[in-house]
Parts: sequence; C-alpha cells; structure tokens
Amino acid sequence: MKASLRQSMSWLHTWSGLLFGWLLFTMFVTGTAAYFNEEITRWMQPELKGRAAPEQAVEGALRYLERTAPDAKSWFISPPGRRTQTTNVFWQPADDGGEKRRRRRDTSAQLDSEGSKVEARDTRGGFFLYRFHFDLHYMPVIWARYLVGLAAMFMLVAIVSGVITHKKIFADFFMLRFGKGQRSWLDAHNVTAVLALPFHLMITYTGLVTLATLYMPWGIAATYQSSDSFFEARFPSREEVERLDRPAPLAPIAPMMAAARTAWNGAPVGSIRIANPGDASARISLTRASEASIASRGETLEFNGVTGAPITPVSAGLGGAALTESTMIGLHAGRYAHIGLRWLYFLSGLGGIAMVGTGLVLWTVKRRQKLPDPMRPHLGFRIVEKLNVATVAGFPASLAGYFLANRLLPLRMEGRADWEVHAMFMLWAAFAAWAVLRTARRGWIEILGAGALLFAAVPIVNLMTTERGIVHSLIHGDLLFIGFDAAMLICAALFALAARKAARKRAEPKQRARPAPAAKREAVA
Amino acid sequence: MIGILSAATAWLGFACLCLAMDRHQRDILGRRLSDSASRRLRLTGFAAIALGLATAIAALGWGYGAVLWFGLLTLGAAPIIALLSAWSSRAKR
Repeated sequence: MKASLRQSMSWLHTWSGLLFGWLLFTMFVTGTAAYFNEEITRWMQPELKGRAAPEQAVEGALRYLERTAPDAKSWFISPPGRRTQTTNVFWQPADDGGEKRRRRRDTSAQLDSEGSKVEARDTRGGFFLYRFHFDLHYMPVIWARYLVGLAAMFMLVAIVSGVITHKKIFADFFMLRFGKGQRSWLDAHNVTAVLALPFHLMITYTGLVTLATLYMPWGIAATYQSSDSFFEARFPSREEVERLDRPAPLAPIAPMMAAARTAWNGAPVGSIRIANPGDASARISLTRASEASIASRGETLEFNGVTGAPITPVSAGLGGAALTESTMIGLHAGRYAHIGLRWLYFLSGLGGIAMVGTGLVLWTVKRRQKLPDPMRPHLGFRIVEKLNVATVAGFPASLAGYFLANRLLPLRMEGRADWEVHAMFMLWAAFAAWAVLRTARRGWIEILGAGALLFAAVPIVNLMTTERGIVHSLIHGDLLFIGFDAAMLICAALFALAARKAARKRAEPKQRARPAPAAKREAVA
Repeated sequence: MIGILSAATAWLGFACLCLAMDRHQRDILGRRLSDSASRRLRLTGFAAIALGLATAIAALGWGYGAVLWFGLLTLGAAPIIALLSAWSSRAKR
C-alpha cells in the first residue's frame, strides 16, 4: 500500500523533528536569550555603570594598547555601542604562531573610557549563550558547528514537511483548545509553529547561511585557488601590510572616525583594526557598526596610520552574492534591530522554543495511549521521555543556575568565568540524572518546580549580593535591571504554572482511548 | 509609534479574519453571519493587514519595515488566539 504524500510527510516530520529536537531546543533557548546578549552581559557585570563617547573611549584604548602591546602585529578595538558600555580590545602579538597558543585572556582586555582595565567580575556574560547557540561547549568548535548545521538542516526539513502535513493550516489558524489532552498539545504545536512561521523559516535558513562556507566549501574550491585567496578577495582590508621597521607615531583617530561617520550617513564605527601600530607602514581600518543596517558586514574605510590620509578601497563595495549573504546573516543575528523589533525577535524565539518543546512532548503523548502497557513503556519511549524531561524542563532551568553562579561565586576566584559555565552544566547534569531516576511525571513536576524556585531566586540573590537590587533599580529607573528582574520573575511564573499543570493533569483519571477513526485522523494531522 | 499603528492593524486584521470564519462566529456570536458579511470581514481583514505593511514600509523602508511587519503579524495574532481560546472554553462551561 502506497502512503499518501501527507502520510509520508507526517512520518518525515515526526522523525526529523525528534532526532535533533533536543539539540534544537537548546539552540532555540540560547539563541533567543542571545538577542539580549549585551544586556545580559551588562547585568552580569553589575559593577559597570555609565557610558563614554566612542571617540574618547577609542583614544583611551589606544593609550592602553601603546602601553601594553607596543610591538603587536595588529590591534583591534570595539568601542562602546548602543547597547554596550565598555571598550573591548585584543591584539595579535608579534611572535604569533609561536610554540604555544596563547590564552585569549593574555591578549585581550575590557577597558573603560579612560583606557584602564575595568574592575568588574570575570564572566563570559551573554556572549556564552550566543556562542553556545552554534559552538556548543565541551567539544571542538568545528564538530559543534557540523552538528549544529546538521540539526538546522533537519529543522528545515521538519518545517517544510510540517507545513505539508498540517492540512488545516488555515481552518485551524486560530485554534487553541485547552484541557483536551493530545489535541491540546497538537494545537499548541501548530499555533506556535504557524504564528511565527515566517520567523522559523527565516531563522533556520539564514542560520545555515551563516556557516554556509563551512558546510558547502565547494563553491569556493571551484572558483578560488585556496580558501585564503577567497578571504583575501572577500575581505581586502584584512590583507597583511609589509612592515617597514621605521617607528612613526599614529595619526589622531578622531578625525578618521568623524570622516567615517559622514561617509556612512551618521552610522557609528563598530570596530577598528590597526595594522603595524607604531610603524611607518601603519594602517587603520574602520568598520561600520553592524547595528546600523540589516546587512551585518559593515563597510570598511582604510586610512594611512601615520598621515591619516584615506586609502582608496580596492573593490567598490560588496557584490550581489556577498550582499545577500551579509543581509541574511544580519537578519539572523538581529544586531540591527532597535528595542521594539528586538523584543519581537525575542517573542518569535519563544515561539520557536514552545514549538520544539511541544513537538517533543507530543511525540510521547501521541504514543502513550497506544502502548500495550502504559505503566511499562518500551525502552525507546522511556529514552525519549527522559530526554524530554531533562531537556525541555532541565535545560532552561539550568540557565537560572548560570545567572545565580554569576552572583554567588567568589569575585576573585581563579577561572571564575569558566566556573559559571561549569556550574550551569553541573546543574543541568543533575537535572538529567534526576530525570533518569524519577518517573516521568515526578520528573516533570519536580524539575519544573525547581526551575521556578531557581528563577525566582535570581532577583533575590541579586538584591542581596549587589547594590543594584530591585529597590535601587526601581528608585533610580535602572531599566536594564528592572527588565532583567522582571524577566526572571516571568520565567519563574511560567515554570510554576507548568509544574502545576503537570501535577494536576496526570492526577485526573486517565482518558479512555479515542475511537479508532478519530485517532487515525489525528495521526495524520 | 509606527510600530504600534502597524501592530494595531495586524490585530484588527486578524480579528476580522477570525470573525469571518463560521466556526468562530458560532464560538463568539453564537450564530452564523451571512455569507456576504463574512466576505466583507475577510476583505477588511486582509486590507488591514496590507495597510499595516504599507505603513511600516512607508515609514521605515523596505527592509526594516517588512521585517517589523512580519514580527508584528505574530504579535498581533497571538492575543486573538488567546482571547478565542479563553472565550470558547468559557462558552463550553
């Protein structure tokens, strides 16, 4: 018997969604949180306040670099932008590629407007969540990116097959019925998927594009001699400049920044690269901030580092393909988005989390009633069920542990930033172990409950350990801290609600299996 | 500001589209509307949503305006679904 298109798509949707569902769930959670990565970082460094003008901050950073790394091959400066307070610098030491790979910490610094190292706790902040989204953790970055790419590919398959499977996509557009068991889970899955469908499609496709040259290197291989020559052609300002070994001071940078602003219709400078600083061959390139337009890779202007004269660009802007790529990456990362649109990104991301979460739960709900003995499910069912509890309840709950660790670990602790991350994964591992040991029902209730307590604890611990507790932020109108505390309380409330639902629902008498025709219809839907 | 306007049109548009459907007419009004009324509601709904797109693009440009509009569609439809869900579960009781 030949299956209909819809049936085969339903099968494809079920299994492609399940296989990478758990990984996709963690990617959705961290990716959604990462839309506020700068804000999370600022919350995680409560010592830092105030903001400097970019010109002043860059001049301060140059003084720091002249003191700290006068012989470096190049300096990189990221001045404070719309959403950040500090200046980040790093440099490439002259003896690069030496015997031992340096730790990033030895060649980078976080500076205040005067160019002094900031006195703030060591943390990876929101940047960790951003990186986990595509680099994961505890594994080589390159494996992680292949894994993440594979997951994104399956996601794309799941979206397309899901749309084909969902035969009542218009008729059921507004349908969300609670208290009806499997039907409710399916409604919730459909509504979160369809409502934010443009976002889901965009985010999955553009996500693949961000690492397209890794996943599909053949285009480059066919056209360019080597991947190096591709990158040189694509990013001409990254080319190395021959050192003249004649010392010369750098030209003042403020006029260059002003010129760049004018050239970009007022858009700010996002990053500065200074090649061969202190040498007569010095070159300064300014790159437009990625927040200034949707296309993420900003234009770059180059200046002679000693005379300050602009250098005519080798290529005139981006070609069509490169501009498309740049725009897609920009759409994905949303760095251009102002606060309102940023919240819309965040809400659509929550829709994605809910879509993947309900999809994973639906797999078990659908099959539970058909089990020969629901009290003793087979191994595959139990694995999916435990993974669901550990991931859908446990992973977001462990994020609260990350924030708590930021407040509770000793400020001067060795390797503090890493331990915040370890703390989060230790908590997640504990949740996973708990999920394995308990029955699924108890696991859901207890881990969701624990998540509610942990999220509720974040504002309280913040109040006790910093000077920027909720009272202070309400009096001083510290919107960032008010917003963060509120977000934590909302998360706590959602977890508590979910825990209560889980506790209530299964306590009710088990629903009888539906009559066969209805069950069959829904297996297809 | 434009965002609020565009969100309002999206919300209004989805409200009309929802009311144009037989099933939801029964849930909300307790009776069916005439076919011509449903058709008018459907047209109004699509017009409101299109108006939101036009406003967003006119104010913010093709790129930013279009992206914002997609986000606002999601935001606009969500409360309709929540309201309808609450409404129909109350009606059943």
